[in-house]
Amino acid sequence: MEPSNPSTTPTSEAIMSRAGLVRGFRLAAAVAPGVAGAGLIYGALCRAAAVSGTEAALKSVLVAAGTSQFAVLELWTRPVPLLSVTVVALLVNARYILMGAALPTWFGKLPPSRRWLSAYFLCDESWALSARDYREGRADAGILIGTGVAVYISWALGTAVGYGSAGSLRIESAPGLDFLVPAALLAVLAGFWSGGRTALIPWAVAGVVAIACAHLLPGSWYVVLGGAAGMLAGANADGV
Amino acid sequence: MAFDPLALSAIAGMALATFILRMGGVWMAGRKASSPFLRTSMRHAPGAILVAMLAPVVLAGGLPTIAAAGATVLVSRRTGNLPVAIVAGVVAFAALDSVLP
Repeated sequence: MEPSNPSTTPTSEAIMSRAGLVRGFRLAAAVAPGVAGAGLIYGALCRAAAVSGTEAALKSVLVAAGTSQFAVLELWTRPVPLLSVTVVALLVNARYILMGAALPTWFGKLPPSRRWLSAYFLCDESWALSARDYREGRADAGILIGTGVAVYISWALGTAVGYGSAGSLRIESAPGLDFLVPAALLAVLAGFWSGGRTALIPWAVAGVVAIACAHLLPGSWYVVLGGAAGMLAGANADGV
Repeated sequence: MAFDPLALSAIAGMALATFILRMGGVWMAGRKASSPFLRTSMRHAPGAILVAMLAPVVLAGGLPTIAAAGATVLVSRRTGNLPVAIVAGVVAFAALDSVLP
């Protein structure tokens, strides 16, 4: 991917800079081993499930959404149930709508090509790791895209290596590796804590609703409903 | 290598569905509601969404995950350093997972 040179566009906002891309890449370094490890396991499982190499590669490159890719492995029988796997992808990835909507407003002012890039590289890790910078008011899509590209490469390479070495690879993750991505998200979340009742209420509501919905609903609806409930409870507690 | 048109269509379906969700979200980012209530609620979005994403996962993992989550949050709060907090969480998880049932 070629980062564009902001000096050639004299418009006021530097909205996707090389510095932002680099910053995103560096933010992603913390989670890249965890993502690559998950990709490795995914690749090996694809081979075990008789998914062809082309199919495994295409999924990691075009869908690029790990949870949904794992979710359809069980369904991947011949003939492939086209409708079922598409619906599962919709259910599991529904959270991207809310996450995208929660990005800063200036994302809507990006040129279409950069908006498409931002969307393509939107994932749990890129969204969470860039969220702190965006809360601090940095208006640079490069941070999200750079983080997303690094995560994307880790995932795709992990898949390829896992598929290629499935026979010799013992599917067993390093101790603690499973917890790497949750730990990164938790560390980011901890930084958002502002204390007091108006901070506690939205988080408590989000947590309780998400835990209840995770038992009752398929896919990632628990993220959508828990997140939305927490947001509304927060605004309510602020007394707007 | 097997070339299964139905499988390729299914991958295209998944890719399209996922991209539409991602694009729809980014499209909505630029069209924030004018209502003050909804704008305030958007301020709570990052925290609330992350809590919703993590709470069921942490709870489902049982005692090792809950304790390691606590350690990650504590170190993150104390140091303000992301990589240090992540390493602390992973080490705590690895240690607890081998000790606890």
